[in-house]
Amino acid sequence: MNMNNMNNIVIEDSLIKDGKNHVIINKSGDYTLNLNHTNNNVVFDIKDNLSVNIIEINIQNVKTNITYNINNNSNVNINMFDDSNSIDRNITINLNGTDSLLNVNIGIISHNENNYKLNIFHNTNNTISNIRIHGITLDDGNIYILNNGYIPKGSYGSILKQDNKIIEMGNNISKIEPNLYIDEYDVEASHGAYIGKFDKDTIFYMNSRGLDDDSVYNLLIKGFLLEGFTINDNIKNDILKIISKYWR
Amino acid sequence: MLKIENLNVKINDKQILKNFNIEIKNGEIHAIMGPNGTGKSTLSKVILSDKRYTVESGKIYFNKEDITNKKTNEIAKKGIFLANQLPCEIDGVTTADFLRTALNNDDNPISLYEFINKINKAQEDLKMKSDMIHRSINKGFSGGEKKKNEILQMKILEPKLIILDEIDSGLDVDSLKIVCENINDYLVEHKDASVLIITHYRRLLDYIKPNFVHVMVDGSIKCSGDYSLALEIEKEGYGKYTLNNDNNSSAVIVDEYE
Repeated sequence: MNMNNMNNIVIEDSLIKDGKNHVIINKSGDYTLNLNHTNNNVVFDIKDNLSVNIIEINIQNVKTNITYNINNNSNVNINMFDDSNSIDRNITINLNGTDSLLNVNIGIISHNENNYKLNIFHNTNNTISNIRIHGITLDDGNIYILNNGYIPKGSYGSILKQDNKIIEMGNNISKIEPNLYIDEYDVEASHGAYIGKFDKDTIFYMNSRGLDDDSVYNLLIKGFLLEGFTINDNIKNDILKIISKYWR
Repeated sequence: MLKIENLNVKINDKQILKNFNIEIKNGEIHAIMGPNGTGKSTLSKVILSDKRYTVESGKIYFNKEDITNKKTNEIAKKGIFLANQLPCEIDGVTTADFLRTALNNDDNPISLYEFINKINKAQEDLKMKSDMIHRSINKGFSGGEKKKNEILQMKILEPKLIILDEIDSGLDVDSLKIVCENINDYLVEHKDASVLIITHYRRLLDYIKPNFVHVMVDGSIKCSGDYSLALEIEKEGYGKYTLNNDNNSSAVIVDEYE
């Protein structure tokens, strides 16, 4: 595994084979994650008192198994954008430190099979997770989201929020399983799941300001897929270029 | 400016508008009052051709052009603006991006500099927080902020006909005053602009004085008059119009306004 001065984390075949799959982040900043392997198994340890922004843009078929361990008082944003035929992501996040904060934003354009399995463990008190997964299916695309949130006894004062939405623009059927496993009273937890089309009231509202359907969908899709992303304008433009392949 | 002739509208086999007629000339302010469920909001959506409603018969003309069943965005671009009773919340789309796109959809796109000046001025006029136009449309806004955001859009898009669908609902006294002042200022600057106000209450009409007041019951206008009609309704309610409506009696005088 290679981590250069630009905070660019490249996960390469040879390093994975060597079994060096442990990344320690001990410095605040933006980290771009580049997957150059189809079967990744990586563990990130994010140390105390950090503010970390992880960005991953993926346009190839990928199978990953990534674990993030977040320690005391660290604030972590994970921004992921997928546009490929086959995705199989297994993401485990351990909020191991008090006052740790996690925001996960995943934007998906699905052309075939996209599977996302998330397990978010609030392993100690006063931990916060906000998970937002927004996907769009095209043609034969379908998305499966299994989003599990765990707050065991003793993790009081924790907050867990899930927002899972899939807009179907293709022919297949998607599935969301949003699960909350809570064993503590003094917590806040909510989850939402939506599979369907864009809301007709919204489309009428936007049309009623003079926007034609193409402009409406263009704005809605870009907003929907990138909502909550904490990325700079250059990276945002890179993603918008990908989205514009399909919607102007 | 707007003329609606014998409009009959259904949704899911339920008749909502029944032989509805109205004519609004340039520079006029009309108010439609009526109890809940009489089709007032339906009317506003049908003018903008919401495809969930079926126009069975009748015509809608805007500046003498038949706009019945035209596309919603085409009607809007002709200069009709609907300020909604319940404005949508739209994730991930900011008011600034939304309005810039709307203006660039036009034949005469606006420069970024001009747009920024215009939207900043509108925000100041409406006493809105400066970050609101850069947030997702109406997301997390209070009732009053949503209505101000509607009027901000009106000021930017500069329509010829403004439809205010219960713009007073959810507004506190101070916000109502600001919203109405902005609409009145707009009408001073745009002498030919017309307004169709849809409301339950007279309160709004104290701020935006209508030339004509219509009472709408069961999908059609039952009575028309001037501002004094609004005062009468506040005092006596809609009882005499709804009672007569129960047996479809023709006893109610339909004062065809010209």
